[in-house]
Amino acid sequence: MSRRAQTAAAPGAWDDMLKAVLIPNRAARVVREEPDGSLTLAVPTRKPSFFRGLINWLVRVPQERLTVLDPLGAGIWKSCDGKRSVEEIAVRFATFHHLSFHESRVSVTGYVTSLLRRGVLAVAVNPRG
Amino acid sequence: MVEWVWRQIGVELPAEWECLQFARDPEAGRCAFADRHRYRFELNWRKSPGEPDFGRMMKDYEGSLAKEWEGIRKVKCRGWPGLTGKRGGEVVSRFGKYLEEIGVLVEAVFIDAGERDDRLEAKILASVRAVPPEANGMQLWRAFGMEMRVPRTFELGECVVEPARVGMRFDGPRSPDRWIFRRYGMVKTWLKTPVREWLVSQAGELARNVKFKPGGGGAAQLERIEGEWRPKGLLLRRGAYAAAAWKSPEDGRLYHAICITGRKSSRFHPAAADAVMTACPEFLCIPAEGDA
Repeated sequence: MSRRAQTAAAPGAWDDMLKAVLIPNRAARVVREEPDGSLTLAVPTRKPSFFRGLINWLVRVPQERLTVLDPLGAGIWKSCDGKRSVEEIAVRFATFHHLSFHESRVSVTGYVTSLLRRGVLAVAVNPRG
Repeated sequence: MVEWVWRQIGVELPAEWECLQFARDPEAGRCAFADRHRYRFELNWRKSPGEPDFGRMMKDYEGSLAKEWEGIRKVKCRGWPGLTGKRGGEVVSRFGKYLEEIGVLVEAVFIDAGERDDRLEAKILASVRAVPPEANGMQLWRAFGMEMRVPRTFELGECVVEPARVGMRFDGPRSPDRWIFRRYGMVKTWLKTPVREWLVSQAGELARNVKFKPGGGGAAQLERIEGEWRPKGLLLRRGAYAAAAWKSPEDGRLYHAICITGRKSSRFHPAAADAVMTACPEFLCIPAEGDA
């Protein structure tokens, strides 16, 4: 009996994510744009504290980290303008690629998560209240 | 409304409700469907040797749910006894019925964010039906944009559902019986060869003497192949291989059916793999831009 209410007890587990707005990292810059639509982005790296001083002189830490986005990913990144919610981006992606809403949601949120990890994007959860 | 047939249970649901959870277990399991924001419907099943005492079951159920639900009350809809009540900010209604033809106890659960939608509940409950095997021994399945007919002795061995990629594998009681059905999306982004070449590449090296079958082409670019199934290993059973692939002009998806049938099940071997699988483009409900 306890198992029965499990699914129904978790509606909208993805709902907060849909309301979130994605903001591109202002420090990120486009290094290269290929004719097929793929993009190379450069995000400045923050130097760890122990790299200051002598170690910094010995080991050269890259100033920027490069992230290559395939044409699909580049399309998602371009949609993240700081105004559109994840839901709007998912709907746009679904319409463009002929996908159902949840197919698109899973693709978009999965990709966005990897971009967040790489510091290309930042997320504002429910900024409209 | 789109008909979903899973484990001999058929139900018609709004096209925008997508299946996000499913169970393969024939004894007991659940399929859960969600709209854009929340789960809206659950289909639970449990094999039962006979019709349960619904009066007693409802009483027990009411007692156990009274702690979680507010304003719990008994309801009846289209002959289905049920319970409805508020849980948090949503209304949950549960209805049960015994489908005698297949010996399965079915529970339909509706979840509404605000008010209970009686009309939709009635429409869905009226559509729930038992789908026993057909006279020719084939069992109908209708899920994830595919309508499939597999021999009644075959079991759902694997089901993989990912964005733009669905695969269902049915295993027969004897090796090498195995029928596989797949549906792919975003075809333009990854299919760079003709469907015919792609179909042959999918056959792999265990399918030998592969030949194209006539009747292909057309608007759907249907392609068919057949050959021998010869697994590596002296003791492994051989069989016949038939496959078909086509691009649906309606939803733009690529459909792929593979039937590997052993000699002992040769009566089930289809003349062409597309004979046991049909595309269901009505499953694909694409949201319109601007309605987010």
